[in-house]
Amino acid sequence: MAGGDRLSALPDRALRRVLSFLDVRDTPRTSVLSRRWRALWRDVDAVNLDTRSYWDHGYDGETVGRALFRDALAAVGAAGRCPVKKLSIHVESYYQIDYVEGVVHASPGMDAVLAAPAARGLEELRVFLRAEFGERCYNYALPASRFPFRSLRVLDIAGFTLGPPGAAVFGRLETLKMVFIDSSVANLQAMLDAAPNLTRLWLEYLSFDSEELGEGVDSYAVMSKRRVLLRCPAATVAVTLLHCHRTDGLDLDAPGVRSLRYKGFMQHFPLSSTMPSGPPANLRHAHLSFCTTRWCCGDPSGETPKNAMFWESIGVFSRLVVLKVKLLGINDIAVHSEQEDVFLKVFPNLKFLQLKGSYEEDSYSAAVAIGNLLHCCPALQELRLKFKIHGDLYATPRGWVRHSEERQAQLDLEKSMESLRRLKFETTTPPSTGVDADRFDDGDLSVLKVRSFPCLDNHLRKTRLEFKLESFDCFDVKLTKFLVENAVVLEEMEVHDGDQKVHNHVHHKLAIWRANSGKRKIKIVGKHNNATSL
Amino acid sequence: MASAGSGDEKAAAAAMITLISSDNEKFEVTEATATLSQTIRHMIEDGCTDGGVPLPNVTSKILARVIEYCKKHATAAAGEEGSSSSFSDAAFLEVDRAFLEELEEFDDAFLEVDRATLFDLILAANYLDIKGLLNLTCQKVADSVKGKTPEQIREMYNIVNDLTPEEEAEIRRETQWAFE
Repeated sequence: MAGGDRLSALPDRALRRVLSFLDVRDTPRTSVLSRRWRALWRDVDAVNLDTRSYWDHGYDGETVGRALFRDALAAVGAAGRCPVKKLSIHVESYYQIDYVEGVVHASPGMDAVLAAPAARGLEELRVFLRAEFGERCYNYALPASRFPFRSLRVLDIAGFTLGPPGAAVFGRLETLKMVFIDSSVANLQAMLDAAPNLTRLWLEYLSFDSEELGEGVDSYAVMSKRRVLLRCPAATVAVTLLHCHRTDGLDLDAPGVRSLRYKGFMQHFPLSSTMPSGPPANLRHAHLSFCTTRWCCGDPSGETPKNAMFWESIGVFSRLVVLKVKLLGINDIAVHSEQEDVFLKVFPNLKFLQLKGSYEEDSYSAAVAIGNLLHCCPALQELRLKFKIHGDLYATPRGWVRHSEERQAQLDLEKSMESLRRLKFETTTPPSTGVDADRFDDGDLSVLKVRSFPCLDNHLRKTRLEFKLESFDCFDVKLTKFLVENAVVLEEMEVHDGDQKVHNHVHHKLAIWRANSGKRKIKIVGKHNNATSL
Repeated sequence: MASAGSGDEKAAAAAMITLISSDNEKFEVTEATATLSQTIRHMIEDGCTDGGVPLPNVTSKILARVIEYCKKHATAAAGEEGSSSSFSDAAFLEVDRAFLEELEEFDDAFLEVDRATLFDLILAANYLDIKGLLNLTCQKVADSVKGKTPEQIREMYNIVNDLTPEEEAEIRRETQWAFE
């Protein structure tokens, strides 16, 4: 009964799908399995080339390249095969860039495969070149004009120099993803101009040649001082722009964009309101992760304070529905009361807000910043906060300090005694009178307590907090308590406060605060012990 | 219990479809979950889902797993209420790393099944026309035969070679390059 051949019994469509994931040598080899399999592989519309399957051909790139592209041409040109719709070419070396260059310079090679008659209707093309240590293969230039441009819907490329599209028109192209691609600004712009129906654009670790300059000029130095503008097609609705630091900013004139994911300097926010078409009027989703000069290379110019920069960048997007922000110090974006009228803008449709960062540097201002956001999001339904204790990336987390064994034992004992004491206190004190244990200095949060927030009164139903609990009177805990007590319509609170022992978690306190403020409706969840809710 | 303000969303989410497995077990699912299946989507469009959708090719055990998959992925496709991503549209979720990682983790855990179940899932995905699930399950089979010789694959999956030696030699000649 276990002996049946269930694989061969699958319908053709499923077997073709299985074969579409195999590489260019594995696929035709299945033709000798049995009569059932003989012709199947010719009906598979995907061809995958991958140098990692050619490890047995040695370390010389050219040798591997010749074998890889010979097999590719044989597979693509096989008699009776169906047209190829998906082609992926993956060249990767654990050794060096020479290997990758050897592979892609093989002849007949990439160009011959792309020009093969069976690839004329290609819809999806992936070309991925990579050597160890993230090196790109800049010496290999592939002109966009060589891609089967008429039929392509998805173009996903990485690790080489993109040449000009020439007269090619990518009329059906919907998705363009470029990672570690080197190009001149003019080529990239020409590529975007040639793809009028492009809906999704993904640019990551782009670097730019400066075409105006001759030999011997430091292109990197020149481009790092230039702020670049790219015009996106009107059809483009989703843009991802990650780590494009090689210029002094990369602005996107993208009037149709509805969602943006951005990782880069705040100074270089790409949807600047100074663009020719103005800021996109329909931006709904923004996922922003602001890096710092310590982490990413290049020092952005400009002296504008961060809070002004932040609010000037995002304040114009009045139709935002989802906003996710990650930054080093939350206090950086705080706008104090005297400046509120100048900087703060309301997001009347914003429903989901996520904020990640540290409050260590200035917890009062961090509370101000959180207050600013709550104030500006009157319709907020879901709030997520994730605090990192240390904003400074190079600081040693406190938990890393090593103690002598004796001292460590002493500390552990103190901790256990403290837990025991607290446990006794909790179990002997009825919740209604348990206030003393929770009375702490609200200094940092005073700014939140003195005003009311429409979102907390009417809309916030779900919240999630993540932090590492240091003590029960830390900022995180105070804020959690503030939300339990002040979010009137809150239904669910999810708290993850680190991996300490059960009674060092904040959850049992949450239940007490909940009881004290009469909000029995709130469901409390999170990893505090084996149970998932209180 | 519908609270003010979200009435519309609740009404939209409340469109339920009943799926009936081959062993006559009934499963209530939201329309957003059910329509991950193109087959069911067409049935809904044709208005023939009243009284439930009989799925004579799918057992309750497999249907339960398929629904588990669809529920998770429908979140991505339709922004079903109650999910963390209910405010995001599909175009955005495609690039939302945290969400994709969550899906990937789910998929990995979902694939922890024995081979017989895997084949049943493939058949169900094929019959119900659920693109993502068909890809996921077929990829797992593909991974298992990657780099293997035909002899190894035959042994692994009990494939009986019914080709005559002459036929096999002929096929090998046709695709000689792949055997070098």
